[in-house]
Amino acid sequence: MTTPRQSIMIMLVEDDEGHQLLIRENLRAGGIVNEIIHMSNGQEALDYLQRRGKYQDPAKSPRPGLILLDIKMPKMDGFAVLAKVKEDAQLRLIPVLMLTSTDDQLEVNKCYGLGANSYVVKPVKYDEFQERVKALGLFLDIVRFPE
Amino acid sequence: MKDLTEPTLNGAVEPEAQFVSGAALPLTDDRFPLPAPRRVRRRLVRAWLIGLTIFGYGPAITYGQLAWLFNEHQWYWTYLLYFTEVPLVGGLCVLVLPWIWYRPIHDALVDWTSGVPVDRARCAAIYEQAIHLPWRLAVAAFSAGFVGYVIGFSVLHWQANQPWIEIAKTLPAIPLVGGMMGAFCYFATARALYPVLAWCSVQLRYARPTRRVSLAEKFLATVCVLMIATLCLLQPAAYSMGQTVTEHHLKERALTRLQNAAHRMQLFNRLQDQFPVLQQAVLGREGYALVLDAQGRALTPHPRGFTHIDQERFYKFWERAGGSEGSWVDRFGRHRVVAFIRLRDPSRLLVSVAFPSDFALPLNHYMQFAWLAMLEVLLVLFIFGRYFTRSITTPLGDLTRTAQRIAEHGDLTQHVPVTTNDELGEVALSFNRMMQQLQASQADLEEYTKRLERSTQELSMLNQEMEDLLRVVSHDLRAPLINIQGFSQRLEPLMAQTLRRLEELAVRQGADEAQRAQIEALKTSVQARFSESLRFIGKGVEKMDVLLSSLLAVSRVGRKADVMQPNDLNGILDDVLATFDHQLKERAIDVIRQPLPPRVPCRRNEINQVFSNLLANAINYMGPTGRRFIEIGGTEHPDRVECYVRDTGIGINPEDQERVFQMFMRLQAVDVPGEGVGLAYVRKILRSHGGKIWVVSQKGQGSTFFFSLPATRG
Repeated sequence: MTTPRQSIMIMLVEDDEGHQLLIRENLRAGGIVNEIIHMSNGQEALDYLQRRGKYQDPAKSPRPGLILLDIKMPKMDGFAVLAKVKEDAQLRLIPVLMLTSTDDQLEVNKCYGLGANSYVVKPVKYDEFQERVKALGLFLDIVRFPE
Repeated sequence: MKDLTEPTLNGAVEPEAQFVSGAALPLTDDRFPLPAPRRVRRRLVRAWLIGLTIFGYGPAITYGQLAWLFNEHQWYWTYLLYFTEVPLVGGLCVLVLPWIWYRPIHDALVDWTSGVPVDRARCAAIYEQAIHLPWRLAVAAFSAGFVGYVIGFSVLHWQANQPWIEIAKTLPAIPLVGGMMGAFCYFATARALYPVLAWCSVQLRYARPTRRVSLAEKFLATVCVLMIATLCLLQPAAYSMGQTVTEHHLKERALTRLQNAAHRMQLFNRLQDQFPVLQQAVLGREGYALVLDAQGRALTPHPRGFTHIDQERFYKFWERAGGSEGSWVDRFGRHRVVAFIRLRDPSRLLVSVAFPSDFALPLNHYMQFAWLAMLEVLLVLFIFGRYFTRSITTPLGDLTRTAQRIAEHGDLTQHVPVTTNDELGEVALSFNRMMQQLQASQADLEEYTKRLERSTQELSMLNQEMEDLLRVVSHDLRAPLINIQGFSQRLEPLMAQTLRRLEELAVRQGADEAQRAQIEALKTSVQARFSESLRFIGKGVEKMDVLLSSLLAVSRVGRKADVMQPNDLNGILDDVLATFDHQLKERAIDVIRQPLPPRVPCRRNEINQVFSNLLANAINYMGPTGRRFIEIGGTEHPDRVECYVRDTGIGINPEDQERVFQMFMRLQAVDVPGEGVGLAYVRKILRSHGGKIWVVSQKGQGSTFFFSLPATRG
């Protein structure tokens, strides 16, 4: 269990506790055993990534290998976080996967325009939801991420 | 003094008077500065002096030259005298009157130049005076010419014993001198006063003269003056030329002279005293008068002092003629004309002899005169033409420059000075009024633009709010649904687990058969009710999700992001029918397809949605019996295309036909799936394309949904 893909950490940025729980459970069900850290809003996620405030110690806040990002969040929304991440020369290599509840074409385009790597819609129907997240887990399982 | 608000000739009240009433005077316009009083005065005096000189002495010189040409020396001085008299007397009037009239203008200019505040009323008065001064001066000059003429000739008649008939022949001098002097004064004064008028007009803004003189009148007056002047200048030539060529005229003239001489000779008894009278009775250069006795012998010496008379021939002629008038040719071949008149003493006869050759001038003499007359006419034409042209071009130039300024700088406060009281002044006035109206319109326009901007801002704010609302609906309202759905799904295994644990616990604690049966029953009942509750929750959430999605779809129709492109409606219908293929076969519904327009500008996915919703409705509301088919077709019109979807379904009551397009409206309470959004969505899509939808239907006889889309141009 020491393959590189297992060593990466996944950051889940999601303000809704319920969603966060459901996503985490279904990722586990999809076979993802990686460490998943949870950020409840965009500002916190950015602080973590840029090592500010309580995340100043690099040892305690290692870089994630993948970011799962919700769009609608308090303090700072997903677009802003995405833009900041993709502006930063060091952070821009981290793949960002938008995980959100709308399929609005404008928002999708906006996300890709800002440099998101993928876009996944959270369906309301639970079985579909389960399938999507599991599929995402399988996908993550077979993809090599940059270290 | 005219108040500017009083009704003018046209009967219109000037609304512009209040326009700049609040503005402090003097207003400045770099094109029309306050003219220097000395300069205006100098120009006026110069104009008057030139007018007097050219138009007073010019004809005098012409007539004098004419007299000289025809050897009528006594007339030479006469002409000079009376043409000098006319401008002198007239000039006195013309130089005194204008000064009285011009005085207030001069004083006002001096005051304003030295910094006395500009008074509106005074400015208006000066404007009125300046605009009417030229005409008053013209009349004065004409009158002065007339008075001068009368005085001059009275003096002449009294001093030189000129007969009245001769004086009457010079009557054309009145229009010639007076008219031309007057016309010149008019134009020259108007020209000199132009800067004053322009300045006053700028101060008063929309000032207008109270009396109007038509440009046509001015033009006619000028033409008349020029015509009469030309005739007057040419008249002596024509008159003299006619006089010299005919013997008859010569004789008549000689008789007139002889009558005059006889009349005067009666005053003296002695023959010696009568001689000097004969001296004056000459006719032409060589003509003379004699007193003869009954036998034709000369009683008086030759008046010119000649001793040589062709006595022999003369007496022969005398005998042949029998004492009546006639003409004969002497031995030198000279033609003579003789006229007789009997004196009071019957034995004495007054005879005049004239030589027609004296009057027959060489042709170049006439040409000389003609050239002179032509030159004078040209000079007069040039001067008047120049003034007349300028009186038109100057106001037009002002107008053009102002229009150019407005065009270049867009400054609507510009206005044209009104410097004439003719049609050009009217044009300038109308222009000013138009500019004022434009200014008002522009102010209105700015106000409207501001309002429009405000409205647009409000609208875009509302739009933004709408967008935000959409986002809230799509994100925030759906997010809890995911939780409800997700966690309620987790409840079922949890419940099953709990019940299983309960059963195990019961077994472990040694429950008897009856207790276990009880627990089993409880388990079954709870599980059934639980899964029923969960099913309802699930269905509710799903329905909520569908409603939210439909709402979002309807709201997103026609957003800027999607562009219209020409599409083949047949292709779109192919796609749609492919998705309905299974349903149609299952329900045994035939589809009849007519050709659809091949190129219609539209958003493909939205029109796809239109067909899809209409077909879904047609399938869902298909009647239970009879022939079951759906017909789809379309027609092209020059400006639009029309398509229809006809079904043999249950139909719609006429009173319900408008309501089917309303949001969340469902007429059927039956088990037909749907949320009542489909047709509202379709209508929204078509409206965003600039088209419309309507239905023709009868209950039980199927429905036909028509929709139209604007066609491509060209």
